[in-house]
Amino acid sequence: MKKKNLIILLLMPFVISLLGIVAVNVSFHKVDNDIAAIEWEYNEKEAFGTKGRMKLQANAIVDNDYQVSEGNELVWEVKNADGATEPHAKIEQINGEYYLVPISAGEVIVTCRNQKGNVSKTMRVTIFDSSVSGGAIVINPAIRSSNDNIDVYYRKDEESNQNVLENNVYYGEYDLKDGHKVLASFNFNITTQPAELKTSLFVKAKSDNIDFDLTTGKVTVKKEGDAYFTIGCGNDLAADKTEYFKIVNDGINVYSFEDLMYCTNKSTNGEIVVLRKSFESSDTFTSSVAKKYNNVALFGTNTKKDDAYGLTDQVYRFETTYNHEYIDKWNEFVKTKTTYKPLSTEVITGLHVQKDFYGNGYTINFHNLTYPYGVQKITDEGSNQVFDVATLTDKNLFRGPLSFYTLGDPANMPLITAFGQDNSGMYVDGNNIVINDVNIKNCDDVKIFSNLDYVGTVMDIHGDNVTVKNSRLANGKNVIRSFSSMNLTLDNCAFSRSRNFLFVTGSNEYEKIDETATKEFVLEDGTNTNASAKDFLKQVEGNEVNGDSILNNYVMGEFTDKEKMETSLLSIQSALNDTTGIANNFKGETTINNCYFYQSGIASIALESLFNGPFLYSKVPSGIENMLGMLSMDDTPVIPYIAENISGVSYPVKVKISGNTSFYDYKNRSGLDLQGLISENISALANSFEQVGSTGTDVPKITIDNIFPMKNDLFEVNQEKDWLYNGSYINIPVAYYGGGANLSKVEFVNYRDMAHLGDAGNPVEINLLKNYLDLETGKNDGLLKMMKNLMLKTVTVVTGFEPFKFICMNGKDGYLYGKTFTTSEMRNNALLQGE
Amino acid sequence: MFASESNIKKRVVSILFSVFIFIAFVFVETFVFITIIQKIKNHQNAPSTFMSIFLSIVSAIMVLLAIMQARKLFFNKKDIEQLTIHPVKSNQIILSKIIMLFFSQYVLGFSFTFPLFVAYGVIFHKFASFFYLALFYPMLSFIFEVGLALLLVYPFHLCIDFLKKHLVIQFIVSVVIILGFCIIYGAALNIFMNLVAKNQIDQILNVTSIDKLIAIKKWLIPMNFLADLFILGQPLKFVFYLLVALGVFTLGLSVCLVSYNYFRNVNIQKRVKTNKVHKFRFSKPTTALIKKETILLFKNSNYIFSFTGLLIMQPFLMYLVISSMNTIFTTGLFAYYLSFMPSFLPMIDLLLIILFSLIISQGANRFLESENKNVRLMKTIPVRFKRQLYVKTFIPFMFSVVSLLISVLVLCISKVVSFKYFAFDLIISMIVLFMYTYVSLYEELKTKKDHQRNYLLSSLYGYVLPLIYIIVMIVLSYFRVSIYVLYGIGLSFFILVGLPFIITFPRKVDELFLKMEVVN
Repeated sequence: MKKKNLIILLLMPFVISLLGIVAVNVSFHKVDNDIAAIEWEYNEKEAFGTKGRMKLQANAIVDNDYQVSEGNELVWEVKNADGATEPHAKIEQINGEYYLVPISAGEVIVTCRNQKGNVSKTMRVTIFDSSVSGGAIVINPAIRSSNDNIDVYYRKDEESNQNVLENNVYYGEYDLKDGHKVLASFNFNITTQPAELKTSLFVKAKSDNIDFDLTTGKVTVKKEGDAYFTIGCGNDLAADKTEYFKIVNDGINVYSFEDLMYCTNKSTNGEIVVLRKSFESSDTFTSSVAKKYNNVALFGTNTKKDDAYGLTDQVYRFETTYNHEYIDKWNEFVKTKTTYKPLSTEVITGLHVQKDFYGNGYTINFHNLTYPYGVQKITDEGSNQVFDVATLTDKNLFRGPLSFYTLGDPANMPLITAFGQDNSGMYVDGNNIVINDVNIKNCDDVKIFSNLDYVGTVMDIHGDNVTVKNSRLANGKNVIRSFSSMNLTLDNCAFSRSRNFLFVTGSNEYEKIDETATKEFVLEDGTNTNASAKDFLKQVEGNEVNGDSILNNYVMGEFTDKEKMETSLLSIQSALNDTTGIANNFKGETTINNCYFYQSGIASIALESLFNGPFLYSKVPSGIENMLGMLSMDDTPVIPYIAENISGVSYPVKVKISGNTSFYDYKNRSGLDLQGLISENISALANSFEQVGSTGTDVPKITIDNIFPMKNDLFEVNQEKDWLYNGSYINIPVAYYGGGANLSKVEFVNYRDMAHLGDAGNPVEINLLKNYLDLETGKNDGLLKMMKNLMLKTVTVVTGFEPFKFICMNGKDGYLYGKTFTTSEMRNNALLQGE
Repeated sequence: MFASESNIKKRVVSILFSVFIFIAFVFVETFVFITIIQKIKNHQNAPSTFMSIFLSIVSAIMVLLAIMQARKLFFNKKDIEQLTIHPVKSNQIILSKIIMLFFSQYVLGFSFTFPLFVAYGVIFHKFASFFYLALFYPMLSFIFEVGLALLLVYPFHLCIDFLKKHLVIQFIVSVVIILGFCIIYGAALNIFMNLVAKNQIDQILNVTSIDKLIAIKKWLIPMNFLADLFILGQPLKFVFYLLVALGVFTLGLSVCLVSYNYFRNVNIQKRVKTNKVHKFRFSKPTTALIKKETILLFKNSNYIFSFTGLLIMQPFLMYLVISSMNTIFTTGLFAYYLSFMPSFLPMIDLLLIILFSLIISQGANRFLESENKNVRLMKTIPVRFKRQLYVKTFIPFMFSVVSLLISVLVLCISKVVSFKYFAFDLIISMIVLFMYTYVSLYEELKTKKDHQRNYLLSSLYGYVLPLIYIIVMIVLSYFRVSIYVLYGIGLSFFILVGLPFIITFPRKVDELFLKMEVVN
């Protein structure tokens, strides 16, 4: 007996702790996956005679073996690279195989793409006339090109006077050798068809800023500028071939991870990066496909996940540029209470870019850095499908965004956390920087958006006059973020797959309320009173009527006239929204031209303002603090600290949308997932009350859609206005996010799709406050229901009462539904840039 | 020949109580199993892997129980002495014992495993055949479990015998075993707390760790084969299992047969005991009694494992368990649940301190039972009964208090328990311990010859009253009653309930001791 008792006693911690485990959320929203890339054996340039036909072969690469959606079958197409009107070649499909069938001598661009057109690969094929014993000279870089350039241009061929399509290929002026910059040199493989012609080759011409050795194919840079070399063939057995490229002044060719770090994270002022290889995840780097080529490097110093791929000492860390008043105050508090852990104000980035960045169509995949290292295989209860759910391990460096505000102990199941700045793959830090023709993703493609919760922002911009062009950015919690950056230009870019928003913008600057200024407040009975915010919104005890008592009545459901209560609450919000000197004082400005927004979790563009509820100002309503203050364990409060006066009114930003900018962002009700907006345990806690409190089945389960009840309203409004495609698909190009005053503006300038915007681009308002006012008080339905409702309303007094606004597409006719951006369209846009 | 009516009643009550306890244990086991499975059911491979490992752990426990039971059945000297005078063949004896073993193991195994199969089957919507086949699981697992038990029972018996004869080695081995156990327990608990209580369950249920568990499962031969047969429906695994299990069973049976015959024929021969000549040393009766009781605690194998060794480890074990419980209750959802009762944690800590000290002191509360026939001597020696009894109870009580004091100090120094509560925790625990000790003595004095001791009163004082007190105090805590008031109530309560006993017991003790029946 006694031994059994002891055993039971010793087993008790194991058993009880298991009972406290929260079961995982098992409802997943699937993403329609596309192929990740295309693999083929061809070089950037190939040659083929007019006799016969050339079999075309390529394979689709699919991340994590996910089943891809419709429209991802590979198709081939060809077009003339020169200005000739008659085609030099055509594509024929015979027995399911594709062939390039030459027609006449000339240059053609052969493209393999998925049917949707958002993934492609191109090569340039010289068709030579083989009937007259002719041949061709083929020049390829020794390190394979990406075959995926977006940055193209028309070169005026002086001989034929035609526009010839060329890739903008960049080389840096320097290479790195033993940690020092030396004038760059790089090699080309020069081949001929037939091979015998090679002995007849000679250097016909070259630009002054390079040396070229035909024997080795080596180019040595002398100085920056446009460069070329021309190779001729004796007896004119083959047409001359010229290689054109640009030498970037002070640019450094980046071939390895060490080079990349030298130019970015390890550099005080930054260096101009010219990518000459892709930087990939460990899985891709070690794959058989990557091993076949020489243009893939590893993002990291080793392939060991347990060592965080050697990235711990390589990443760049900086103090958040966003509001961190809460963190500072929490850390002050922690100094006196050592049982709690301080919070860091540090943000991590994979690449700290301070100068121009030339991508040459190569890819940077931050998967090794950003993606959680743990995986769980979870069965979705609805579909019974098994999903890989990414989970953090203690080795992960990226662990989610910083906290803007937390109610509770940040390290121990806080009730609610509103997010501040997130980690990023690339942090563009400085003025007058150009990011060009780079393919960036924070991680491999995911099957469910919740796997993007910890991967951070793909590109975070902090500087003026920054331009991002001809680039593709994908797979982030948010894809691109710009706060307090003036004159940001996003030109001809594609932004794809985000947990929340594809582009989020706002300002770091904000103004705190003038506490002493007299404001007008409306009391619950409809009468007005004038008082300072400091006086009116202070915590009071007893029967004194002020903001605190009004807000207490609101959260406790102690009111009968909803309209009067709403007026009263809005007057409080209005006092907090002190916009003097803020309205029209834009602290950020972005021009979005010819950009593509594809698959967001919520909306394509978000204009964010600070949460600015009365609770953040002066901890009113005091009922919340009183109620939560009761929660304690052995003199240790569960809500140990409630910060006050940490917020304010954000300065507005302006966004101009122009050109062919397109929103391929339809989603149905389940696809609009707000869970990534905030981190909350209210739902887990409130729902678990049901399990322990036997409250019966009449208490509805709390989900994020109760906490932020905007989904239903959004769909309702779109339904009323008849904007939904097929009655169920919504498309939200712009969301004004944040419960405080949001004075940001969106302008549509020469915008192609104006006619397809709902209400001509004017936002619709979603008044969340109405939902909360309609919430049953629960006073007569037991303590737990009342607690649930109180917790829900706590969210509003934190965020503020301002309505959220959304610009929606009128998608009734299904405009852009089921479509995607195409790389060929992006190349066409790039041609327009030169005009 | 026949038991009296009152004896039958007591036996029925005792059996019913045992059955109730057993059912409660199985209920708790099943409840925990269901809770865990419900929470991990959506993790691919996790439920089946967990079930396999759970069944393997049950099998390991069954093997241990089978070894204990087999030792009693096969290597019981009295049993062998009785059987040698009857014309029963060894084979028949062994067969009958194995049948006996089978029935007891099947009932036990069935009770442990069938509810798990039912729970698993219901959660994963298994067909009726799954439940039907589960009836045969304990039957099949018996082959391996008992085979292994038979293989190990004789070496186990030899080890126990060896240790019984070498008291110093026994003490050292016991302490080392307990220490080793504590270290392993501490390490396991630490890992578990980090992973589970600190919201890092993801690290247990991710693909890598489940793969590791599956890898561990692969080594749990042959029970993994049997589990795969029943859970995953892989018939081929049954063949593997049978091959291994029958092999082990045959080997075990052979070894057991040989060792049983050897033990019966050779080892059971009565040897002439050479009487050791002891030197007499004169000392005062009280001193002699104290010395005797102390020696008994440190030399008796029963005491070493169940009392002395645990007493040494008590501060360590108490720290591990109480700090873990504090971590559990102050993290995650528990923190919110229990925050409505601010004094929950100190009250639970107090309960655990009481339980630890009682359970460990329970190892030495057979004051008279451990004397066996020597009680006769106690009655005849010219030393006052009270003195003898007080010394008998005081020595283990004193050791328990010292260990308790050190344990509570360790808890306070390591900040697991606040120093504000040190005195309260210590005093209340000591009062309960004191009461428990004297009630235990009272129970023993009341026990009649050839009757089982009735533990009702000591259980009431030792477990039920503290439990009721803590529950009531937690409820009062919900109404924000000060912790110091709660402690004050505790002090008064335990003193008050103990007071009548303290007053009456000294008066009754002489009479009870005299009435106590002894064996000549």
